[in-house]
Amino acid sequence: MTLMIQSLPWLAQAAVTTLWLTVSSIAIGLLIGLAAALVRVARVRGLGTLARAYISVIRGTPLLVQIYIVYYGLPQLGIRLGPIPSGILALSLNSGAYLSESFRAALESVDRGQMDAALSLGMSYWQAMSRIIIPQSFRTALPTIGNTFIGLLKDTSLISVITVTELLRAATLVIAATWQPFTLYIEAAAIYWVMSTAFSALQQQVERVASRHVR
Amino acid sequence: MSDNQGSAVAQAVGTMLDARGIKESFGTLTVLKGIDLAVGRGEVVVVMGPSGSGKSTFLRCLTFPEEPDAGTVRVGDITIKAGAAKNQNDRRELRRNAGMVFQHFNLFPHKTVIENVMEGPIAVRKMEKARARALAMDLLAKVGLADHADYYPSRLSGGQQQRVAIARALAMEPQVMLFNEPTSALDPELVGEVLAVMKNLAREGMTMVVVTHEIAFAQDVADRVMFMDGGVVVEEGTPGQLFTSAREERTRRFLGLINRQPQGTPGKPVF
Ligand SMILES: Nc1ncnc2c1ncn2[C@@H]1O[C@H](COP(=O)(O)OP(=O)(O)O)[C@@H](O)[C@H]1O
Ligand SMILES: [Mg+2]
Repeated sequence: MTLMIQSLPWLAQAAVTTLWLTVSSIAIGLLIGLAAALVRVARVRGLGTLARAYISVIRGTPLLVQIYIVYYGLPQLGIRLGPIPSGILALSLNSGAYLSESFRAALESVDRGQMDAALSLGMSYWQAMSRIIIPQSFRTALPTIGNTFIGLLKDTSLISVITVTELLRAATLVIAATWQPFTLYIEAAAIYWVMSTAFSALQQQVERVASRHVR
Repeated sequence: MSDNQGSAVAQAVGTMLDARGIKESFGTLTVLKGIDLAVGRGEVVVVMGPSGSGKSTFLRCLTFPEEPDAGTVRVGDITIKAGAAKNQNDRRELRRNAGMVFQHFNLFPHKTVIENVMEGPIAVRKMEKARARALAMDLLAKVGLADHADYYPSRLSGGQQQRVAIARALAMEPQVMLFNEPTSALDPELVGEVLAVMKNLAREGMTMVVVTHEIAFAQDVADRVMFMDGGVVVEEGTPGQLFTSAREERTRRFLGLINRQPQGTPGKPVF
């Protein structure tokens, strides 16, 4: 118990790292996911095919392998990124692929009459998308975005293998010094659980606000 | 005005909308086989015809969300020939000139009533927010909904939503208003309030093309009624001519059918 309390500040600090890794990765992942969904929905020639290939590769391979390719593989091509940028890149590319699928479904679920109405006012296709279609699809995609965030929060533990001192690696380092794996892994798990649960609660609030105009 | 023949009005006071030889097919299904329609400034043309006769497709072809296979459309001073080099700016300009009111209103559900009306002026006319708001309030007052400005559309009845949709279209200050069965998705008791707004518009001199089966409305405000079936214009004339002494058997049969329905409910949605 004393070890738990003693190690808490150190693990809490690592948990903050986990949190901002998650936030950065989901932010970039959202941009990638939206872009990949848009080029498919708008049937932008060439890019649509590229987006499909990207999604297929990411969804068809393990995240851990993707992390290894970015961190150990890319340097062979002369692209050398530190552990943290590599981790964020791998996590963003990964979450982007999953998010793009839910964005695409959300964009396509917006009633066709919305595009008709926007165009009839004289908007361009991209104006209609950005002002009318995308905002409505966000509400539909919100639950998936939230779930992806929680998934990502836990998946950041995988980048401990490339020496990023996030929550899991911080616990492992303490274990190496104290040989108390049970205590420390339980403590790390508890911190993950608190963060996920807090986020779930936040997510419900956001979804309530976002759907206030729906009867 | 109502005793003018065909497009005599159009010739006398200048044509606001001129569509020539509009043809459209979907795969092997030919929906429009060459439709001509010239509408003069301030003229109201009612388009009638059985379900599936191509009325909606025709309206869509007038503003090019649907690119016709052939034909030319002019609205105001913008002319577009189907299939000609796809200049999207011209098409957007043409849409600005033609306000569209849809059967299912198509209000933007994530925006309040007043934001719906301000959307076109801000996004397309690049109007300042304060001016757009003032314009929107005027238009909402005109359709009798100033006190609903800050509601979301989902809180409004169908009739109220359709009146907002009319205000939204008017905010672009269009030269022509196109209505696609504006009352056919409404409960009977809500039809009147929408038709009243449309009648006012007509009296103010708005140029209008209205697809509707509201005989009384057509009799009251239409200068001309066009009857479509099977992708062609079967017959057109003043409401007086068409409703009392249609030349074509097809027209008489159709009018007989819709007359038998209780007023206010013709063309109820089939779902
Ligand atoms: N996008 C489309 N693709 C295929 N067929 C269509 C499409 N739009 C309309 N149609 C067909 O064209 C015909 C005319 O439809 P429409 O213009 O909606 O008629 P109306 O409005 O007079 O009821 C119908 O048979 C309809 O099924
Ligand atoms: Mg129709």
